[in-house]
Amino acid sequence: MKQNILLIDDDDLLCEVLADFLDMSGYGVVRAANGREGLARLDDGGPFDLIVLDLLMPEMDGLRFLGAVSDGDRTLPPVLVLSASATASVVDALDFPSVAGIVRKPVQPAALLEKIAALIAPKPV
Amino acid sequence: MVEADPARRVSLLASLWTALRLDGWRRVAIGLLPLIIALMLAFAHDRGWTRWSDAAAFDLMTLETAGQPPAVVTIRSDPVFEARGASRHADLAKAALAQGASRVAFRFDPGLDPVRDGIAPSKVVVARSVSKVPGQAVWQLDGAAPNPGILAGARVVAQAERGLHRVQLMALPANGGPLPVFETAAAGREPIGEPYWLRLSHRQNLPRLEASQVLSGEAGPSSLKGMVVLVEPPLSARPTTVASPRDVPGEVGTLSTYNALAIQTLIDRREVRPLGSLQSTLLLVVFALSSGLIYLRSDPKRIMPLLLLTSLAGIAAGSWLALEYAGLLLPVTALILAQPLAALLVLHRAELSEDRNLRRFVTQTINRSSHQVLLKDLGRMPQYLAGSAPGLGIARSLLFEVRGGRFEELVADQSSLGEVTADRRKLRGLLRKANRGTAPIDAASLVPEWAGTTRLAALGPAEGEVYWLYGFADKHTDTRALQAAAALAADYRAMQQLRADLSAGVDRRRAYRPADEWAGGAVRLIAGQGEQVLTGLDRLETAVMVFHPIGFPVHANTSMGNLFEQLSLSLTETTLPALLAALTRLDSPRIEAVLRDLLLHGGEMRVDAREIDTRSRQLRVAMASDPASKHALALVVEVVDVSELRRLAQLRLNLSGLVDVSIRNDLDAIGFALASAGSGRLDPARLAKAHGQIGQAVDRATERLGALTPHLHPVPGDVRSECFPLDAAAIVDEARGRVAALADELNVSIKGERPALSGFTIADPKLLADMIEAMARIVLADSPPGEAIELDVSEREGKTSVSVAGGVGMAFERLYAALEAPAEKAPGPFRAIVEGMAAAITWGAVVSYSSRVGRGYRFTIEMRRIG
Repeated sequence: MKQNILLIDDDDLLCEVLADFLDMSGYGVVRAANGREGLARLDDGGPFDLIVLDLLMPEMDGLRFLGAVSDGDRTLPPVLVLSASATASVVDALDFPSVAGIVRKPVQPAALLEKIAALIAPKPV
Repeated sequence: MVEADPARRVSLLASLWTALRLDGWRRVAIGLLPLIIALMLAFAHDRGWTRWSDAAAFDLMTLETAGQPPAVVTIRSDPVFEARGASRHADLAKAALAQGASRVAFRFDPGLDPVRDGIAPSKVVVARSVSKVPGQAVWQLDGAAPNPGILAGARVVAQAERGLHRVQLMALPANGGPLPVFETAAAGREPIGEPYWLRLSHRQNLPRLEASQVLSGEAGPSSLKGMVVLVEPPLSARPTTVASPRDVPGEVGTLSTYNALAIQTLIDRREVRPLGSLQSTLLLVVFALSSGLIYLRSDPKRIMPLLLLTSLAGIAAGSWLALEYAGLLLPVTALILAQPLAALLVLHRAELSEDRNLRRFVTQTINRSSHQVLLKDLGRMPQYLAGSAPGLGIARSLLFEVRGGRFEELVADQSSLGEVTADRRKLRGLLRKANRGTAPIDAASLVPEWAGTTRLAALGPAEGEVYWLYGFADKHTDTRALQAAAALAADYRAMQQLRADLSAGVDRRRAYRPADEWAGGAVRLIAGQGEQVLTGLDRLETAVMVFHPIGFPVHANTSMGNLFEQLSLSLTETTLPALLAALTRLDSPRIEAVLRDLLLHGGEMRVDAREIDTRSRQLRVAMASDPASKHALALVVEVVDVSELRRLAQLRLNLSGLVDVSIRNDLDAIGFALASAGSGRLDPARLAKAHGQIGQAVDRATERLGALTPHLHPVPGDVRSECFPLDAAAIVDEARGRVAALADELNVSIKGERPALSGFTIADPKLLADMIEAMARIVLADSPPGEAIELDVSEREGKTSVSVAGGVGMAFERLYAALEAPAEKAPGPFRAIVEGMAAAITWGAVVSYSSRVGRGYRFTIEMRRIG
């Protein structure tokens, strides 16, 4: 059974390419164009094994999305932040328990797959 | 007869009057100086003090001139003549007269009787000695009266001048009329007139014959025609000698030659007489006045050499002409001396005048500088000095005054007067020592409990004598700190001295010197360079303020004055540390450290200023020092408006941020699409799709780079009205900051939503901030206390919205009228909105507004969001 990833990014082209790549790599992908849509997809039930989240987005940016999902009783999958604006100050602001990793764009496809694989199926301790 | 043109005459008079009142009476005084010199020289001339040099000039003009045709022939006795009988002199006279002589003049009295000897009467002149009539100022011939028909002349020579004879008398006063001297009688001249000067030309031909030659007729029958025959005494008589300029430096000439030259001069009527006293005085006065006028109408220094040479040539020519054609000896010496003396005096007077002007200028400059020095109350000097002391690392400081034996504390910092007055004897000894010198003295013994280095400096007189006791915490104080403190004390002392001098009305010249010192740098900067510096400072666009190292403000230009107004600071009372505290975010210890470093090591310091009036400024504090002594002259504070530079920097930062984010996304898209395409797991349709995605990403990146290119090379001025990618949330924060004080004042809160991370919005940051601020001000001012207004930022796909809402509201028509009016007619804050609305079109933005009484206002700015 495929593992599902919720991909939230406002860049249509990148979102489409990345979704195709993840799909080709064996993951099921659901796309959302911003944080608000991402919340809706979560509310739709998912379930998702991983959220790949961009930060700089209209309507609801990545930080607001994390704030919103952290407020409720929702059980969240790990969140991998994939952002071009992951500066030091932004990284400091990403102090949410669900954030499992931060990757700054551009990223090597193989490295991203490695990271996703590690987050979705962590090695047993 | 030529009639003078009245207009020209009036013009000349006007010119003369103008000349006389040029630069007021001072110039007139300069013009009159030659007149004073002339009168003094006329007096000297009249007293005969210049006679010797006049005589020298006379000699110069006569000794080498061409002689006249001889009118006198000297007959010398010879042995043959001597051997003849007693009638030899009568025979000689008769023979000479027979040969055409006009007169026979014996330099002695041979006792001839015309009747007895058959000689024509009145043709023989004899010389007789004379003596003064006892008890009278008249003279008489010695011996018996001469025989009738014989003319007797007084054998007398006028007194020599410095041993040289060149003057002869015409006659001597005698009872019954003037008694002619021998030469006058021999020349057949009337015995009247003043003594005359003989022409003693070397080139005058004076023929000589022996008596026997005359008697034998050897010279021919008419050889003596018209001549005066001057007969010398017998050979037995010792020849009388007389010294004249003609003989110097050769041998002394004979009296016979002198007599012959005198007779020749009188016969030729070429005797010379000095110009009379009155005429000499008048001549000198006219000469002097003409010089004075020339000086008045010209620059004495420039014209003096030419005038000196011209007048010298004129004097020489005039003197020669007067001598040759009028027989007058001008007061040559006085005339020659008049020019250089007058010139010297005029120059001296002019120099004095210039000195006085300079002193007045300097005094005015000092007074102006003092006036311009912002510190008006010199009584606050101790506070300034004490305030500056920590900047030098001085840990303890005590300024006190000794007035009438009583001690009074002026300013104390970490010290007290009680500490130093415990041992009065020791204190007074140290005060005397400090007063003797100018450098601060070691005063550690006075306050042993002050660890470190302690100094005592006499600061000069105020109400009483002021002293400064100060201590550095460290025993091995930096030499520079000690020197800087000593320099401050010296500046203070000089300033006190000036103040005391000015109060006491001391000579300005003396007052000038200390001023030059006390001004040290700042005032010297102004006094020395005067208006230029002030004007220069005032023309600077940057705000500049000059402080004296002691700490008081010296000058602030207009821009700085405006800045002070905005900060509600006093230009005259703000100290440098206070200004730094007001303009920057530096705390007191940091300010002290900065100033200490500047005072001790020079250089400059730059720090960002607080934001005032929405402008970004940078503060630059620099120490101006004397290049020679390295002594601190002034501390200059310059506030530079860097808003435009900031805008430019911000633009570049935003652009680079946008490029960074966008390109990262594009590279990611390319990277993932390539990975997909290269995996070999895609069917042809999906492979084609991946290739298309790569192409799209490349196109998008290229397009973005192309759009950004025009923004890459702007210069500060160009950014003024340009829109560029910006962080809209940050701009809203800025506007919110600007109205925060008003909100507090009105007790209205500001609420608002904004994204945690803001994307890139296209706008002009300044106009946008001004517009949001104006909207917020309108809404705030319309809100009841306790209410809140909303200031929201939201970002959607391709759009960024900023909205300002709240207040009671007004009728829409009124709002519309205010916002649709031309910008220059828009009231108050509406103007910024009108300007912003006009500009917003160029950013692709839309500004909308609504209002209804009771429902409040809503302003919305919708802008393009590009990433």
